Amino acid sequence: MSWRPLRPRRDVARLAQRIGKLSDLDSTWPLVLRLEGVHVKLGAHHVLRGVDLSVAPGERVALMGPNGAGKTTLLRVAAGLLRPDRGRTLVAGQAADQAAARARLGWASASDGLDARLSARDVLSLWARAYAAGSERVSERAAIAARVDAAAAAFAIVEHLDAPAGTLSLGLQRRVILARASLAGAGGLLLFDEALAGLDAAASEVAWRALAGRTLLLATHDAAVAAQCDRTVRLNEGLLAAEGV
Amino acid sequence: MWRDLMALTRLEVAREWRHRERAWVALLTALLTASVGLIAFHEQADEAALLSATLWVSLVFAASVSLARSFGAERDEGTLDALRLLPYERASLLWAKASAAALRMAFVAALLLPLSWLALPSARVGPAALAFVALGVAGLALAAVTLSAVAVHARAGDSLLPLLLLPLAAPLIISAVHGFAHAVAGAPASEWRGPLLVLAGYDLSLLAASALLAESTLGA
Repeated sequence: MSWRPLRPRRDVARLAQRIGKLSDLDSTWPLVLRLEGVHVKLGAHHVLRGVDLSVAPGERVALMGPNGAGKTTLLRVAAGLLRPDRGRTLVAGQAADQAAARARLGWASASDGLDARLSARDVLSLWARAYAAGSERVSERAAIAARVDAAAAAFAIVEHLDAPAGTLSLGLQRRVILARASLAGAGGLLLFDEALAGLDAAASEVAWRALAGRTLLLATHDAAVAAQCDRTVRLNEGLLAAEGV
Repeated sequence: MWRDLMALTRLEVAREWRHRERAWVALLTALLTASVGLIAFHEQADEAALLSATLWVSLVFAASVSLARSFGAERDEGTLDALRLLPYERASLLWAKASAAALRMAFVAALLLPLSWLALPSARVGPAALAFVALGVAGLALAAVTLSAVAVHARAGDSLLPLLLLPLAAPLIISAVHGFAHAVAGAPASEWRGPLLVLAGYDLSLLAASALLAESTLGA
């Protein structure tokens, strides 16, 4: 272990800066996600009708419900991809559409794809660098490469890292997308929209092992996937219908 | 912000390289347009004006054909949402794409410029002419990519883009055609300084407008 001499002026300034940042946070912090009275109307259809939902650090929440219940819309609102007509969304106390909130969000959806000509390493490197931006510890090239290798190892895609994404099977592409989402900081929130669908049993097991301890909100129709979660929330016609453990 | 832009630009340039057939399509489009223009108007007395008009019409045509789908391609590949969720300022996303697009258009312009010796053997492609090309190409790329971001959620947005690009780029095209013609004809600086300043001002305005539009077009 190496020690560096104290530099009082600089260290105090940094501490003050951090305290300043903390004071900007909403009082709901340390909840990772908080939706308050979220209402979304698309055209004439009320897709979400005053939804309240919270996710605590380390919690895994499954979102279930029939087609058209509003699961994808709820996840898009949580990610800040869609602005609700009423209500608010906070990610770690920050408004979901702020860059600071996005730094704590990992997103994977069944409808996501990859640029067929880019390799998994290209994609993961960009995301690792993006999530590390502003962090002195991980902004070095070697540290970024280490994060990419760790994510690839966790999702068992190491031997496919340099192949163009277009040459990978759909299951492997899905694992790359999951690995990309997992690069969001350890305290971050992962939002999965049917992102585990299409994985075989072995890949699914690998994914769940890699996601251990992560905060997760996932939409699924699969009871087996929901069973891996701490809590299941049911949506029906834009309303939270039931909640169970 | 600068580091964000560099990281994104690095990825966009890598994408540009891996999809280099897009640059060839842009080049062929420009070459065909230029050839038709030069053959059709070869009897024009003002060769500098002919050369300039042909070059810029070819570049605008190539830009509208090849840059229209900058963000549309991301949407079709299913990568747009992930890109929008990167914890970078959204203006950086737009500018990184514009940088890669400018690189593509610079490649087209670099191969088109030697045509000037065919059309006008006395053409002087000096620093002034190159400044017009650099500013014009940057402006065209930024205009096309910004419009692509605006049109990405619109119905038939990809088809609309060429229609929107021409009116938006009109000040750029007019200034570039006038100024470049004077520059290659070896006219004194007083003849082309005005159009060059208009071009620079246009690019700066577009840069500011794209920064203002980025959040509303790529955000929630």
